[in-house]
Amino acid sequence: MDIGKIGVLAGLICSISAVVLYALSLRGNRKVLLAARSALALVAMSAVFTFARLMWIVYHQQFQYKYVYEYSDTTLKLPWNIAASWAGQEGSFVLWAFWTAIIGGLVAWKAGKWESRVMPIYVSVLCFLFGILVWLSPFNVIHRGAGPNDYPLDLMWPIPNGKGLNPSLQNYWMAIHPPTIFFGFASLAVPFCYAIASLIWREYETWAPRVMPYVLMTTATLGVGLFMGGYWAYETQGWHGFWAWDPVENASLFPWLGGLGLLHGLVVQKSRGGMARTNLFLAILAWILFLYGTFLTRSGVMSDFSVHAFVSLESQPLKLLMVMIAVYGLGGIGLLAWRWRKVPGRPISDKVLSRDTAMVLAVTLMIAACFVVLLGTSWPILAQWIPWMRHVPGMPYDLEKKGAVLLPVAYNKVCSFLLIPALVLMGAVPFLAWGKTNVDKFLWKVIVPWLSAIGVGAFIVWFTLIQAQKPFEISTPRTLVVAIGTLGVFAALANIGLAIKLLRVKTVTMGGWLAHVGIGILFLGTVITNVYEQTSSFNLFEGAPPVKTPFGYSIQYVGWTHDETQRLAEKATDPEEAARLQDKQRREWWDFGHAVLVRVTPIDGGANVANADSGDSEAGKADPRSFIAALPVFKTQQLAMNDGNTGPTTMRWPYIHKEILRDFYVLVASDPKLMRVNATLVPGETKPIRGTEYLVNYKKFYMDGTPGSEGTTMGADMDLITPEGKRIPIRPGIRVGDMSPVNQLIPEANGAVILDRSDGKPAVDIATKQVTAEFELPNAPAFWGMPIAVTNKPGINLVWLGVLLMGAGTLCAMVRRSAEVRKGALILNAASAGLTDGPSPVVPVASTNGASKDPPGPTRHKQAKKARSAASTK
Amino acid sequence: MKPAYIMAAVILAVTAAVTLFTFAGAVAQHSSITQAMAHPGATLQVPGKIIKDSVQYDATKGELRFDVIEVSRGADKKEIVGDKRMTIIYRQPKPENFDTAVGVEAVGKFENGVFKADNLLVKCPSKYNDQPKQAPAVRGK
Repeated sequence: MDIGKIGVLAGLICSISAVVLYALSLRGNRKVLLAARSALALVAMSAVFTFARLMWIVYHQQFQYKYVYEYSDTTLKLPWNIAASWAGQEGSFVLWAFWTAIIGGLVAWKAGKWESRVMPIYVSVLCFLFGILVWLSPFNVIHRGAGPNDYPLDLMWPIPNGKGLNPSLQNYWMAIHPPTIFFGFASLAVPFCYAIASLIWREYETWAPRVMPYVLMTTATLGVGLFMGGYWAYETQGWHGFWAWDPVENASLFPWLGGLGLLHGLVVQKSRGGMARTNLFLAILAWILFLYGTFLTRSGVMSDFSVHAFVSLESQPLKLLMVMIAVYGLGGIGLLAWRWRKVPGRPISDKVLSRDTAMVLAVTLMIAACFVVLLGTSWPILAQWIPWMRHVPGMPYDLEKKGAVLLPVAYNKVCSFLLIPALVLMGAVPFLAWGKTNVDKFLWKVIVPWLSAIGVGAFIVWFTLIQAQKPFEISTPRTLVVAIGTLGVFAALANIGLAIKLLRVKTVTMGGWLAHVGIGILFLGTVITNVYEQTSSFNLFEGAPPVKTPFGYSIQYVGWTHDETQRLAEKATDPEEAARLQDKQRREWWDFGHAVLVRVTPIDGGANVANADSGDSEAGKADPRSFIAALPVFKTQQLAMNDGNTGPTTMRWPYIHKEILRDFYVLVASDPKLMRVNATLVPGETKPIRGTEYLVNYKKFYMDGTPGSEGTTMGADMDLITPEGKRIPIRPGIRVGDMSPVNQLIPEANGAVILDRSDGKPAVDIATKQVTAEFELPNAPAFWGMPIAVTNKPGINLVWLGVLLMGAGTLCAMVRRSAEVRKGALILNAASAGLTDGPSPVVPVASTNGASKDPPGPTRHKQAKKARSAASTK
Repeated sequence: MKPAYIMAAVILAVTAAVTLFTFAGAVAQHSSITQAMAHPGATLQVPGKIIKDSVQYDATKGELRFDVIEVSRGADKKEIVGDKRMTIIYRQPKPENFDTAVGVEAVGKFENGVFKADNLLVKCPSKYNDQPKQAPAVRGK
């Protein structure tokens, strides 16, 4: 048995022991508590060991392990030869278990009197995860034998190489994004466990401040993690966007929205004592939604609707995951329903213009958004059962069972609708006081950011009108765009004022406001970049003059990264050396760094344009501001199949030229092609063959045979005129039946001719008799044709700036709230020693019915309130 | 009843109405090539087998054009290739794994004799098992 498997088993056994010991420690026996802590330490060590062992076998490329064989190969370098550890299902569960164990240590350390109540629930998550890993083990060794699915005994052992990692995953984000997002997911368990503990122990007050730093940590890491994934897609996928409402993205989004709602609800509970039930509900919801999202993306139910590659789980671990959802979901919601009426609800302000109302509405909007995304993501599954959900206009309403998908535009519409009130609230809340707000003062304060935002809004309107002159598509209605942009600015300005004020007084309290500034900027950037982006397509040809794009740059093909090797190979006198260099050149095609080089030159009107248009190499030399863009184009066997019917895939990654106000996004849009020299002409014309000194004369159109009968060809009667002036008659043609061209050799010129076009368009136009003839001739080498798509992305950097501010603000708030817990905890403990906190033989769950009459005593309330006010004045 | 709760209830009710209305109007139904050609203008998700010789990329228009042939799965899960052929137009760069793909799921509308796809899900035969699976592809807007 592999020692990694031993680590998993040890983790399972120790986590079960830890759950039992922590539960027993509730009786207050110190020794049992110490034993429980030791068990927890062993769980953490097992998790770390399992993860380390996985990284070890991946790093040392032990290809006899199936997991390593599937996701790694010898070409992988740092950090991907480690990051491949979480490339597959098994590895991502190990990562999840690892973070859960690490965070568990933190929770136990910081939980104080809550430790024995929270930890049994928390460690049960680890029991499930290790249980899943027992079945879903990354430490399985490939079986050798004579069976059809076995690795043949006569082949090399250990296996010398693996299948390798998908090139899209060989990106630096692979080392950063999955660990970040899984940290966020794992930490979602903390508020859930606190909520359950508070329901079991009917301790509805003190859990809120304790759980707040964790919720901030979760929302910061998940939020930033989501956008890391977006940036990753933006950099490699070539569709110049960062969010596509794909089920895999959504599955991370709705737990995050639930967490955000919880965060804001907790602020209300902490400051005003309200929203206690909502918070318990949201803490349970966020965790269940995350588990549900995991189920959706891992079970294969979404495989017809998602672009992400996920091999579906085997049935055993999948069943365990479903048990997990059932246990936590039914248990949590059931417990909440049972206790619902007993949770003390404290009144919040009944004034409309108060922070209380604003926060309730904000939480409502977040819950609404969460359910919108949840419904949309689940739509394809629901539509299989509910006929109206799959009905589309223009189709008969039939009851036959089939699926349906939701178009991404639907999410954009509903989310824009929710964003408008959300941004208004975000802009107003800095000027709203808890309880009651002085209306006049509020209006005076709000007017500055409001007017400034209107100014920016007017600018966006103007920009829209300018842009509307040009043909481009707008997917979102313009008024909505202007409204969201304007309100984004309003929210950012309103919050930045307060953030700056607090920066001088008490830096740490500015976190929340700073995060709101980020959100405002983020949405301003999102609407600008989505609505005003434009794409143009071009064909670049080797040797052709620069092509002007509409976005301020001209682009010109200049070569390949392998050209230097090619040149050396051609120069080499030693045939062996030449062969070696040729071989090197061929191998360079398989490197990630293999790229098409495109010269990008700014156009600023006037002389420069003329210069750029005049062609040849001087244009490039003339402009010192021009630069070379390397667009990765390389071959990979990774996406190919082993059934032999397809060869390598050509990967094409974008080149992104970053400027402050926009990105200039260049992509090789389809496979570069070697084109033959050609001429396009109508009967009677004489034209030079492009790129050569030959001429061609098109005498007349011909048709051999009768249309409809077998073997009929049509084509052009031509003369090829050599540089020496010799005329060679040629008759290139195509078969009438399937329009396939016939290759004709020209022995006199040592060449060939064909009626074909490399760009795929028809080579013969029967109406005008225009033909395109392609030639292979001495001293007329084929040249590269490069389909290019360029996209202008204005305002994209606002998105990333917004995300950074949001993350930084949330982390800042986390520091503040943790400090409050440290200070507040002491006061609470002093104030309520033995009264509320601490593992005491309080009523166990079973006897709650009788004990439920026991109200949360007024003294307890007062104590907590006193403690809270003491904490907040500190 | 506090004004905050009344407003919250209104928000939830309006959101529910807007969401159901919007979502129900932005659905693409799983369908077949025969169905798509019989119902022009309906938004559908149509599977098809790519005819390799027909694949063209027009670099000046930035448009991918290819023909697909009808496929369906029989009772034994085996692929049945039909005879209906349809041209798909996709106004986006060619998906990276398009060349290795055997099948495609196109989301869009059949209009004026061609299927205009807004989104392509490229299906690659899996390296690991014989069941076709999705591979990372490009996404339309």
